[in-house]
Amino acid sequence: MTVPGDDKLAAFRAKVRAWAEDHVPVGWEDQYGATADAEYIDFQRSWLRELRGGGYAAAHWSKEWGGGYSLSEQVVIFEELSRLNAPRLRSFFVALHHAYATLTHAGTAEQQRRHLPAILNGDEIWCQGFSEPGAGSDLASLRTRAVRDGDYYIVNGQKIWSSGARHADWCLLLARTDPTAPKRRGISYFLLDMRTPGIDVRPIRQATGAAEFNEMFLTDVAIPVENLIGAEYDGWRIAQTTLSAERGITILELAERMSVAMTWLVDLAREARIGGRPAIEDPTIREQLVTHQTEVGILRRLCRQMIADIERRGGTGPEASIVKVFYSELLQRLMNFGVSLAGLATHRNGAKPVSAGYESGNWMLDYVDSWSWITGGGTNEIQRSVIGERVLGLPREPVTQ
Amino acid sequence: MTDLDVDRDELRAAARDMLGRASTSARVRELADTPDGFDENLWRLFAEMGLPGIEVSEDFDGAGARFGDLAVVLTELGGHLASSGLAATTVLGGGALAAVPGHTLARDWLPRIASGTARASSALLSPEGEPGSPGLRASRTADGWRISGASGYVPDAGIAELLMLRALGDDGGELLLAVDRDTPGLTVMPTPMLDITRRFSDIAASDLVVGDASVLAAGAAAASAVRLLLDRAALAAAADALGVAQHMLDMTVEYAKTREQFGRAIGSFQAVKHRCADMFVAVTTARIALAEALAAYDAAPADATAAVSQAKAYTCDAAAQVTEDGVDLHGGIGFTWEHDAHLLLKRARLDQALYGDSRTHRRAAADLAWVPAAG
Repeated sequence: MTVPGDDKLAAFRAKVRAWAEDHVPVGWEDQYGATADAEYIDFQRSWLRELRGGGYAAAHWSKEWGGGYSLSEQVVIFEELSRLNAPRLRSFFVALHHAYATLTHAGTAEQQRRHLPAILNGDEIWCQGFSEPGAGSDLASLRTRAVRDGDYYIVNGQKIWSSGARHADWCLLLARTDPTAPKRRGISYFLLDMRTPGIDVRPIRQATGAAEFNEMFLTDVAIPVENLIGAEYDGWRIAQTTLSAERGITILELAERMSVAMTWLVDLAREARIGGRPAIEDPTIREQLVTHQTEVGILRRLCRQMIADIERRGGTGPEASIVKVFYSELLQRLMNFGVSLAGLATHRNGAKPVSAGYESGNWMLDYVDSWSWITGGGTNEIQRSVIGERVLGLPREPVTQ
Repeated sequence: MTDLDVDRDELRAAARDMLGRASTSARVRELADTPDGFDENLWRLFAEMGLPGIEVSEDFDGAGARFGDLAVVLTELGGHLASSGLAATTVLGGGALAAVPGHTLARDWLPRIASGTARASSALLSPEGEPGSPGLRASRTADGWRISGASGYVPDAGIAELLMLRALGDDGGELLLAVDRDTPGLTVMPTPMLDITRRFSDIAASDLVVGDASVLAAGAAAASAVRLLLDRAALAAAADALGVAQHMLDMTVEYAKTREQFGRAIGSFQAVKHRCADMFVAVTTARIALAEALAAYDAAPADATAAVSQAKAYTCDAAAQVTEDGVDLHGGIGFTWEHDAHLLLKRARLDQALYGDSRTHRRAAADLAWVPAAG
């Protein structure tokens, strides 16, 4: 059965595949180790520019800003890049997803013009300044203060879990502008130039041994008023867009990566031995492989369905929480299975390349890294509350202010 | 694509509306106490809506829609704990005859199925309910076949006029036969089941003699028709289970919103809320798994087996989990006979066990994907 458009999509796929085969760097996994150093940033930047040359750097962006692909085309791009295990644009992840979603949703025309082309050109790495030591799951209780002083807001406070902040040029910052208002109504959203004096960034070493996360100490940091995004006090609402983008659209790419990782698991099951025989001959292993294959198929469809909904309706909703919960827990199950098959070898001290996907084939490290998604972007407990309250309409937990 | 693109949302809404009125919990429980569990009124409503003929070809006065359209209705049947022969007649009866559209029996019976004037079912399983090999044997006679043996868990055989029998011939090939239920030599014995919302029978054949005219397909043709029927049956069980799971989710969320303890609705407690969220994720992902397999089946039925097996296992396991969670979250009331929770639980678990359990299906899918396991 040929559906109209299939031929067009096949031609598109051939074009992307040819481009990817010519351009995806080879051997990068060995070249760039576990350190996010300047050399690695240069590599990320050059890969972004390479992708931009092909027109694939920001596939999910609107046509106006250099994207304009249909959902099916985006999926094809991700499939083809994943197939060759292309490096992920990890340093530009926040810029391409979070900053884009936030700026197009709430930014002024001037803010969009200033930042979006620069992001696409690889000139701006972005990070997020949301969480604080005392404001994790309860993000709305954040205490970093921004006080208006003439043409500036003066910011003081501490942020944490800011991935890539050490190399970032800009930060999406939430700060409290009205400490007397109910906690969600006193927050404003800023674009913070990371070269501003008063910002002290310190790396946090993660359980994987890598140090992507950072703490950020802000002391009398002056942000020009024109770098406020959206209306003053509207920060919490706009932040939901940023978070939904993180929970939703980003996973479209990650789902394709995961389906490649699924083929690695099958390879692993062929190599691994149980009682001297290949693990893939073991009935329970075979069942588990099928279970995961089914789940990966569901995830891919779930993402596409969600994005189709977004395109139809405009803006992400609480449904993104379903994708986040399902993706992260599936990622953990797959990596866990990998660890169980890979034996002692996976416990040997190694490092996963920074540009790798969440699945690098270093099963134990990938398993440890899976908490980036279980906990990051709002813990799955928080997501379950979002699903319960905003999708199913269950009553909220009584709130103590 | 067929010319007739069914609006599935509309079909779902219509089926839901009709079943909401005709298949109430009280009615389902009344039927459980009748000998054959058959609801004359419900069947009449099915026929008025054209449901028995939804997938029957237009050549035989049906609507010519796809299996995926029929599955929308099957899911609603599950959600309303309804039965009355519709699933058996469409999935197994019409499905078997449609595999041999040129056959006299197809020409005779499909229009009757489409119009709702006849019901049918198929006996595909061994007496223990295994889909692997038939429990009926056929030996060649001068002008037909002599059938003996037994087949178990035949849905709604008690209210079917026509029964399809899968048998293993003495030449080693499979046979698919169609016989009147009242043919001498064929015994249909109701099987009491814990799922009181549906009816199954064990059938036994002893010196059942049929002519060649009753043979729908033989040899490779029979084997592929049986393969197709088993895939349809698995998809139908999954579709039913999805409806059951959705119903349990809705019922549980409603209960969590209204039941109060410690001065507030129990759904405001995370211990309850998060389990509801998990049920929702399970139902949402199961719906996707099933939709994928239905699309694969409708695109190329013979190539859909792996997708069908994956969806059967995933959807039925999800429904089993969701119904278990639902009983939990209802507390004591969920453990009473008067509450519908146990009806849903039992129906979901039976769907999971029917036409190959999850383990069987996953192993089958694995064998299609990777070189079969040794031994």
